[in-house]
Amino acid sequence: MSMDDAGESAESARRPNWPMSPVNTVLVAVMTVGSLVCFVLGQSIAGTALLLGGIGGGLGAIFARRGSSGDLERVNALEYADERDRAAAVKGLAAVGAVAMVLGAGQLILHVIIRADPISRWSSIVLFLALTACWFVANWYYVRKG
Amino acid sequence: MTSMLYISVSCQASFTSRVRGPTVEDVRSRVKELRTEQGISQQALATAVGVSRQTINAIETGRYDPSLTLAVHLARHFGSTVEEVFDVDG
Repeated sequence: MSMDDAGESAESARRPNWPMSPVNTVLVAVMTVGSLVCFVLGQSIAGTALLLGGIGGGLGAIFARRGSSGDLERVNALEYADERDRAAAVKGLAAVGAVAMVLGAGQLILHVIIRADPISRWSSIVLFLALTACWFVANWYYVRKG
Repeated sequence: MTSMLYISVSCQASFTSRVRGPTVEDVRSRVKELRTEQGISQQALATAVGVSRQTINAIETGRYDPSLTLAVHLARHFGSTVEEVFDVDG
């Protein structure tokens, strides 16, 4: 067995035959079912948007699984090939979380200043508290987990 | 709540800067040298240790520190020890 054969064996063992990761499978399934529900309820615009999102996400995932795909393509498509892809994704999502908390706080302050309607104000409060709680729980979990 | 968040982030940043360990710049890799000696491509080495070609390139150019597991796999591939493949200043 040549080195390349051994590598291909390791690669095929690492990546099952299903054309996309479990996360992408769930996302595509949720978008497809969601679009069907929207069409049944007569919400054709939302249904079309969800359907296009599902198709785009699925095609992106399949495209990113090619052997010649780049690391940025894989990370963007949630199709991580190795530990470096996962490390980059963790840092990227951490940045998204930090920005979400800042924007959530900004939205809450803005809604209080402009005396927005109660639904908007409460949704801002719930969003900000949920993000903060998620942050503290995640910190607790990962510090304990080591 | 916002001030609490700010204080928490500031404290974490301060703590992180005090206890920071070796950085990417501190780790020197001999992966490129050993790979060239064996006469194999980045892609061949990548498939042999189960990572992408870009990851091997990032390790060789000092842009990425491999995990302990990957470092051990690389060392085993070259028939040497982790310390012979990766050198940390100090």
